[in-house]
Amino acid sequence: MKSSTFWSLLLNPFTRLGGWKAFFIGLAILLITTAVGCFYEVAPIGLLYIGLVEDPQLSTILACQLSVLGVFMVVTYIIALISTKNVRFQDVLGITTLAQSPILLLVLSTLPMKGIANAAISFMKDGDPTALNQLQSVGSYVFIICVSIALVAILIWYILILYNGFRTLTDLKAGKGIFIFIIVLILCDVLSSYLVYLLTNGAINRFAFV
Amino acid sequence: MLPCYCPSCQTQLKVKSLKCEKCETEVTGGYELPVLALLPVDDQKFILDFVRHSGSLKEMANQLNLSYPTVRNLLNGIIEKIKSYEK
Repeated sequence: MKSSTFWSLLLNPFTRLGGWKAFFIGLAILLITTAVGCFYEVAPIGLLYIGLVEDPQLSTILACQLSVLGVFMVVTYIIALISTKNVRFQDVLGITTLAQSPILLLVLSTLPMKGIANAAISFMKDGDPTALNQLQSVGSYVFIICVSIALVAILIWYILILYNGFRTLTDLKAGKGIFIFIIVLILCDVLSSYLVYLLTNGAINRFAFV
Repeated sequence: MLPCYCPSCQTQLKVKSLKCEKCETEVTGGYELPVLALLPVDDQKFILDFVRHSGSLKEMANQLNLSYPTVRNLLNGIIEKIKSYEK
């Protein structure tokens, strides 16, 4: 595979993948993300947020994942039905599921931050001074900056993949498409955060990484 | 490839004359180019393939190694171009 083809596929896999094939690949990655998230106590708590979960159950993490996916899928499907009348449901299902794949990398890249996050929570809850010392050390700052840069890079890639999936399904052209996508992104983030809150009865710790 | 636009000012060209190769008869006038001829070569090829595959986007997707919605979007793009030419 040529490197230009590789990069274009990495940014927009939906030129080649759609329908059930994309769905099953996306579902496999979603299940791996759920297992990894459960093991490391991290879950998506909104379309663009990853947060800590205390004593998670597999069903809780899966509920978070499906809430985020479900909201984005429904909103995209409605807009696709309005903009192009001949959209297939399996394409919406497949593309929106596959578009969630970067969450796996987001979850994995938050792992180095867990120690810092736990220290911050410990300081905020109990006023633990050793936690404050850990947070204030120079090494922590450098470490936080490095991991944050990686997180932002993955987040940008995730948003690009979401946009390319949205564009493929709705066939909305550049200016109008970007404007509607930004509104969809904000709407889905608010709706999915609220849905996660309802489904987990507010049990999820709102300390968010991204 | 049939030239459709003026190389100097980019205005759409018209057919001025047609000639019979057998009897050398020439028909002159100001004829519009057919809509299909106005489309870029890639789009013309796409339409020919689409007809050859009995209008199946699924088969087109397999042949072009593209996803179904990408092929559908290509077709939508051609439909939009045809509509703009017909205005």
